[in-house]
Amino acid sequence: MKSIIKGLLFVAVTLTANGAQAQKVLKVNQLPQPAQNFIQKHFDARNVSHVIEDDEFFSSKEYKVALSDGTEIEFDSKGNWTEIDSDLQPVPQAIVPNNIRQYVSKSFPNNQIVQISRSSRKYEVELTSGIDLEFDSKGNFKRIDD
Amino acid sequence: MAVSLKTYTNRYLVVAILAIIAIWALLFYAVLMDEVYDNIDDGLKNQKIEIIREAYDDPEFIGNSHSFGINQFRILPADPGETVDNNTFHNELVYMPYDEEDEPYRILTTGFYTKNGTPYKLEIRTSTVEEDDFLINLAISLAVLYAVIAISVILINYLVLTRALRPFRRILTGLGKYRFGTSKSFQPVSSSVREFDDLNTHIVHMIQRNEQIFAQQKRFIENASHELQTPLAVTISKLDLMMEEPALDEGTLSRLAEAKRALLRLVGLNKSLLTLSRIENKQYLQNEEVNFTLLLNQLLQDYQDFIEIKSLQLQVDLNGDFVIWYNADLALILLSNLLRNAIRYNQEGGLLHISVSPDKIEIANSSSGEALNPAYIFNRFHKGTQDSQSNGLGLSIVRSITENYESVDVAYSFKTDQHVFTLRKNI
Repeated sequence: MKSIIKGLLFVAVTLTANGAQAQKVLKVNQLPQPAQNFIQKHFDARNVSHVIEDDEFFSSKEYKVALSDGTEIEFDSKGNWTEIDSDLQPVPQAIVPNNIRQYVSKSFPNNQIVQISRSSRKYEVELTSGIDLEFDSKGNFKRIDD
Repeated sequence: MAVSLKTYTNRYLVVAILAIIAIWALLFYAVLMDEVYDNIDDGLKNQKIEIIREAYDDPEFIGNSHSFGINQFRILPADPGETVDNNTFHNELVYMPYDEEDEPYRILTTGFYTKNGTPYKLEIRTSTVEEDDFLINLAISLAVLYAVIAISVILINYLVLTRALRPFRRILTGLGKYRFGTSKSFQPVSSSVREFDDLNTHIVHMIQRNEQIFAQQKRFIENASHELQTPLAVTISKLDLMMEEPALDEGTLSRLAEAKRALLRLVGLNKSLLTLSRIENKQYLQNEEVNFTLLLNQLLQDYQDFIEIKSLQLQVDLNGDFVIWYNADLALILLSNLLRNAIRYNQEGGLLHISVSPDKIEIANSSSGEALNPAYIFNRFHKGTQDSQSNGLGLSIVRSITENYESVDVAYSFKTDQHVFTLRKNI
């Protein structure tokens, strides 16, 4: 019984010790290749302010890239983008799925997409006005999120 | 303190119902209120989308909407850099000039950004007078429903139990009427409640068992008495023979005489027990018109010697004939027992007063003692003063006769130093 408790304590300490090293600063060329390609294509690698690797214990690795103009991009462990937050500027048009773009220009003309995030199940989009929209994984409009 | 089953169950029912329905009603009301306001909020949120769309379409829209107008919204500039696009709802009483009173409103406070990122505060409001009315009416309805349900449950419980317990009441009444020795006096009651039917069956069986045992006991007593008679008679006759021996001395003779006296007492006792058992078995069934007055006179003649020995003053008041449909032997036993007692327990030179009328016979004797207790004197083997001659069964036989043949009653009273036994007709 005593040895079991000791073993558990040991594991707990190692885990927390590891947790303290959750965030690591990287250089751009240390990102997974798809991420680097993405930044190169839609943004400019020279505008990268800093890169952080986030490794929490119970979720997979995440990469957070901040650009000098305030834009923040998040990538998953494989280097695919999960979120782009442009503050008040529009995100690059090319990365927004077509039907999402069409819907926004039809229902909310004069509105730009200033933030977009995606998961395996859905897309979430924030417009200039502040309205949040939700789309399914194929880009079909689901609902206004408010 | 024992209460009726109805009250007992009602108590628990009432508390449970009051508590449960109260909780339910409150929950129900809360849920509905939530739904109502959800509805209102959704409406306000839809309005927000439309307003923002219009703001993007029409550049002058924002400028024209800085106060609550017909459309019940307003757009105000916000501080730069302020985050405005969160939704908050709250209720507020707003003074309406055209109604001249405060009315309830629900207000959505939110905001949006223009194309160039300028933040604006947006307030949209709607009147909730109708909804509030609805909620008040709902509350009243729930209260009424609650009261109705509670009262109904109590009433129904009361009525149903009254009906269900009816056979039980009948069983109880039947049990009250049951007399040991008469198995027919308990009438079984059929009912639609299984438990009461079972109760019925068990009671009937129990009564049958008891009656059987009782019958066995009676037969046993009778048989025992019968059997006793023969050996007693044999012993007494042997003693008689012995006492006729010429060569006996005084001492032996007197001891034999005492023994014979004791045996004779035993014979008397045995006969009385047999009489008692026959009375209770209702073996005196033959009835006829019996004239008690005639019987009394006959008995007085038979007992004349005893009356004279004690120098009793005999007073007889005859105001008519006491005639009744009865068993002649029993009448004789009844009267002779009472008369014998009146003589035996009288004082020397005391008064023996007999009065007869068509519906009443009184036999009274003077006494030096105090009043007797009617609760005890009729019991078997109760003897007031220790009298070796009395077997204690006389009055017990009298009571047994009047209990089993109810057309004549006996009662005891003590008047002016006299024990009075009264026989009355009981039609």
